[in-house]
Amino acid sequence: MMRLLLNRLFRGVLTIWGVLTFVFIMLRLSGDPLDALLGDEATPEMIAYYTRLYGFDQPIWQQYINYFTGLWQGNWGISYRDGRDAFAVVMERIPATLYLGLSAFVFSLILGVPLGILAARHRNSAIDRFAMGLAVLGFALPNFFLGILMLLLFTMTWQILPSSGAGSLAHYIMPVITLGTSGAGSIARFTRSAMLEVMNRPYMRTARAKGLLPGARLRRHALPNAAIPVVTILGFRLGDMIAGSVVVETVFAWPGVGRLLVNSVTARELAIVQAIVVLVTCTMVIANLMVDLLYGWLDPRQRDAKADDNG
Amino acid sequence: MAGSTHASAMQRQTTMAETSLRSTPFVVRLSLACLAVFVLGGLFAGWIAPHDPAAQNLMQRLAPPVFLGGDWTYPLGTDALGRDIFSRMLFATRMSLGVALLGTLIGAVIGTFLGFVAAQQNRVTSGVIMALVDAQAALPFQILVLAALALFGNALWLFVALVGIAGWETYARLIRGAVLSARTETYVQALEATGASAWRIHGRHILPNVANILIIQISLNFPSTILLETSLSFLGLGIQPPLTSLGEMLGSGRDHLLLAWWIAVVPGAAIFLITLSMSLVGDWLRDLLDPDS
Repeated sequence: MMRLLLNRLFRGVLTIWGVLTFVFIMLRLSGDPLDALLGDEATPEMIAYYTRLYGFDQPIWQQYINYFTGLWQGNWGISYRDGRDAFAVVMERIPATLYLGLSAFVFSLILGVPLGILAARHRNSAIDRFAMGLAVLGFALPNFFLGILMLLLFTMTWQILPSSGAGSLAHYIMPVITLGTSGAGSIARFTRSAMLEVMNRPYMRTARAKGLLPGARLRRHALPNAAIPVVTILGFRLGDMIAGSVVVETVFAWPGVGRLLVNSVTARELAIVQAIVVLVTCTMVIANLMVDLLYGWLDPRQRDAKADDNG
Repeated sequence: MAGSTHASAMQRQTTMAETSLRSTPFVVRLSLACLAVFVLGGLFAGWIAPHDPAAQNLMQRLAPPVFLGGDWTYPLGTDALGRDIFSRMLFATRMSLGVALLGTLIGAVIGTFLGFVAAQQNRVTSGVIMALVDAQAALPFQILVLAALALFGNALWLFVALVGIAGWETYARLIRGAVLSARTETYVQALEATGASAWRIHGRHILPNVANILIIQISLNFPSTILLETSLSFLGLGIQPPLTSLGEMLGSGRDHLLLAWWIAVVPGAAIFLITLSMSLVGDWLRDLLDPDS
């Protein structure tokens, strides 16, 4: 277990390093990085100053090292629109995205997991087909279209929900549903197949043979075992969630990182885009590590493997 | 997945094909018909379109579609510049399906190739490829696409290429596994014994045997590719005017929701129908070609 975790940690660091290198190469391939970081209106004095400051007159490997030490020291470049530190600009947008993302994540779990369990318990019945039909609909419905449809109905036609901003609880309803629906669909499908897989196992037959009631069989034997594969895809769901928040925040004018990213890409604010990419990468790597930990904790075989390692 | 021999897999495939002709579920037939309509509409956009998709008629701005009391000159109404939505829909469908098809194929070719390479004995290359697979699976690729578009600015070929690489890792992972398991089977061992070259074994014998997996993955990947293209275009970062795609139409229709909701809802419904039909067809194909999974 420990070795596995160290291996994963190493992979995670490797991923972050890979993305940073990718950004470094891209920044230099896309033309003069000073153009990108300072903007078009930079004076020659400014360019000379920053060339020396960032060391663009040095050999490329030296620049590469400087790039990493710079990031490490919190030197993330500046937003050329208002000259503020790019990292600070991104940080102040994080809470809004975090609240929205967590709410949507919980929403998709609350909707998806019971739907999947229900479908698996009533396999090949009308309930199953209905639940899976909903799941496919949820997955195929593009989030931007769902958002627009809801805006049209709840804001413009019935005028019961606010269209944009993040002021009150009512502001959360449409963005959360929009962001969580496709996740709920894929979680439902995955939960169903994980449940079906578990239900065919010999231990389920044993549980039935020893006279456990269906409810107890589900709680004590099926759910804990089916939870293991479901947890592993939750890490991937987070990635989809981050990608989805870019769209949803734009549709509902949510003051989060996703909307900042779209605006920064349009304005080619590379320092901010870079900060967001690095942040997202770190978040994903940490999330996947946590999934691995959770996986080990949920699966007794993984848990006990640790004792075997030492023994 | 493993374990079926060459011959029995072939046999199963033919019987599957025979039964499928008679007993294709109604929903799948409906989905195929729906896809056919969109494909034909996109393919023959130039012949079908009643108007030039770029022609503006400012006297006829925001005209309602037929089902809301409009007349047949503009079957689906007009947009804010008085352009015919029906004609634009045809060309937008062509663009969206074209980009998605090209993107899916790019991903499939790169992924399949790297999957084959990663299944070879060389531990360094396969290690590097699998590390890349893991890295891409761990990252939301849409964010990297946005970053690349910010760096290089928007160009159609770059956009298509980016949409294409989005899906390669799944192909690589699946194909690598399939090739590894195929190599343990007797027909490959027999071929190796006869001295067939690695190219011949992989290209002529293993590839046709893993084709099912490839077909299933292509059909399952296609909806995600469409969604990636449309959502980026919707954000104004993908297909740019004067070109149009379903996502671009939906994005520009967003500004006129209050006055003319159909401008956004018609292309949105088209995206929904295409992804839904394709997902249903993909699921059906998977059940049909690979019942074990």
